[in-house]
Amino acid sequence: MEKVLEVDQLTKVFSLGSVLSRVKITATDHVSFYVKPAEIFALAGESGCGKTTAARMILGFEEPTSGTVSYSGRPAARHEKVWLTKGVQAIFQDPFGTFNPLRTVDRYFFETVRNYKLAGSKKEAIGFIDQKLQAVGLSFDEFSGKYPSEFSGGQLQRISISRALLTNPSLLIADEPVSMVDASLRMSIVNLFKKLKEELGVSVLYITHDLATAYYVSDRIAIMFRGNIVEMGPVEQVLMDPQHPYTRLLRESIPEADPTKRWSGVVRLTEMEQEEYLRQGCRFAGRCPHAMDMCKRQVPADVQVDDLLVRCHKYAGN
Amino acid sequence: MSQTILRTEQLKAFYVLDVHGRQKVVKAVDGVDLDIRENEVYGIAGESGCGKTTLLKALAAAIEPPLRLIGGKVIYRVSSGGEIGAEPLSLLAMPDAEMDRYLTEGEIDIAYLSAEAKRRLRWRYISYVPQGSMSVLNPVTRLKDTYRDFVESHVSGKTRRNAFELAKEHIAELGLPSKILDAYPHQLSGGMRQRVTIALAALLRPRIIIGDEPTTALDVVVQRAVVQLLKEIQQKFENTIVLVTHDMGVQANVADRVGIMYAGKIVEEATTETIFDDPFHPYTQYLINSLPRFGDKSTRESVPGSPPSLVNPPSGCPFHPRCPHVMEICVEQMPEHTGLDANHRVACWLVGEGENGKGS
Repeated sequence: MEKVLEVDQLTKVFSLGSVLSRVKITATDHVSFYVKPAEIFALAGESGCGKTTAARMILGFEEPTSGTVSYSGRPAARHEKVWLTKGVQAIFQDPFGTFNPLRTVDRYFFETVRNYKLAGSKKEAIGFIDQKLQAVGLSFDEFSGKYPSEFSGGQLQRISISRALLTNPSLLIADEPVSMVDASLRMSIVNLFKKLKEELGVSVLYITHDLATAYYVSDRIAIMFRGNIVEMGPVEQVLMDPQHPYTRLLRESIPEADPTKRWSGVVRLTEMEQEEYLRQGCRFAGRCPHAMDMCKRQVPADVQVDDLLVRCHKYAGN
Repeated sequence: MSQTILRTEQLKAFYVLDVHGRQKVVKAVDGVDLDIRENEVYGIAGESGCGKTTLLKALAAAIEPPLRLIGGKVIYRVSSGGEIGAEPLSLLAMPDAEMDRYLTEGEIDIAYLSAEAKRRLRWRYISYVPQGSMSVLNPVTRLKDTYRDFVESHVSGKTRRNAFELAKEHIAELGLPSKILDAYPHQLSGGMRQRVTIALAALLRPRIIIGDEPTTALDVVVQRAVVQLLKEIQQKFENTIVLVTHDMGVQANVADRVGIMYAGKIVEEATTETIFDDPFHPYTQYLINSLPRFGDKSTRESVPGSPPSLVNPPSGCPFHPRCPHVMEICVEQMPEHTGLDANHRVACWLVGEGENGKGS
């Protein structure tokens, strides 16, 4: 099977503190996953779970400590800027930070067209850009000559996606693309990913903390916790029938837009930030209701439960 | 029905800015009538830039330039009918009618409060937890010193000496570990800091706690813990919580009643159940229908168009450029609130002719 993106045993270790008291934090710990053609794959987790670090390594902003990233079956060379290639494009969290406020947004489009020699004349370029803008529900006349401040967050994010589409990428890497967009406009962005997948066959690596939109849009999902993928599989299974205790906690904690489904029960949190990264064994053991002795000593291995990949001692040996 | 504790009458609060010698007016709160009752959680929802935060500032009597109170009133009921609180307030000169109402009903317009009276009411009558409140803690002092400072500036006499004991007891009562008092803010996680701030706001048992997006930018598990704390405070002290958040999931989880705000106006208000199950205003309907739900992958549509500008809000009903049911009158005139039932009111030309009570 062809894989648009394959990430194998990707690890990144950051060192904190001075020479004398050095703390090593493993931001991503042997993370492996792949994205198929025309698939939306969600990488979800809370802040500090390593999802953004993984995205930065995939895009080549950050050098992995170990592990490889292969794009369409070809491993990325050291220091290769994958985001400069035609096939992979990135969309970032803050649409207002993506564009220079003192430059009109159409200049970014013309620049991309020129860099990749996508059109021979200005007229051809305008036609080409207009076609890409139509894909996100905008038109060239609406946007030419305007500055970023003249658009709403939702519009800018769509413009940002449209710019990424100029090179006909096979993979979009979207890091929290809706978290800065107004709740009322969020679905327009998410629906766009669905449309791009269905009509143009674009794959999307959707990195998010919002499990509700992840459920809505993606085909498969990986849940990350403190640097590990703890559960991975079809979104319907992972979110509707979670196996890993952490996924269960996460799923129960999402406030549902239904006043009849209010939370009950008490959640436990850790008080100190670094504690869980430095934990031996399973990093969730401190909060897990099913924690056994083994969990505190030994790092669990990946266990295949039907279609799911679960990293938990509870399922080992079955 | 429990009594009103805080209400507004046609409240208008605008930002008056001076941009290159030209006056620019941002109509952030434009004619809001609220009636918030004792012992309830009142949620205010709406997209960013609709004036939610400004409304809260007005409610907390924290109006500072460039924000100005242009019209209308914010009225506190500081004591229940007849009896005045233990510490009478120092008031500015007010008309006899106002004074009579204060003495009999305990209601007072915040315009007549002196700075000293406002300070005294703050934290004891009304507490305000601002947005991003996890960064309000002093980074170079331990939390117990922050608590001590706080108690010393708001409490006098005997209780002052027991400040630390009081804080410790309070923290334990709310189920937070008491060792956090010895920690510096940076040693705590964001969620713990947020909860410490909320606990601090509740320390003097205020009758109203106003929270501005207290769960935004927190992870879901942490968010749940913060909501849990808010609910616990509300149940324990039987006070009122005014909760602003754009996250409808959180609203569904805690609020008793929800007001939907759009372009500086409350366009619909009802019990949480009604807002989610039977919304009337087209904007509310879009807002509710666009929410993704688990177990249902059917297509969701966003509200069409873009959020309005508060500098030049659209004429008439501000939602008309995005509304699928727009009529001629919507462009010309803002509809009044119509009561659909005792707890459900909506400002839309689709019900009645905009006269109060019609359609009910």
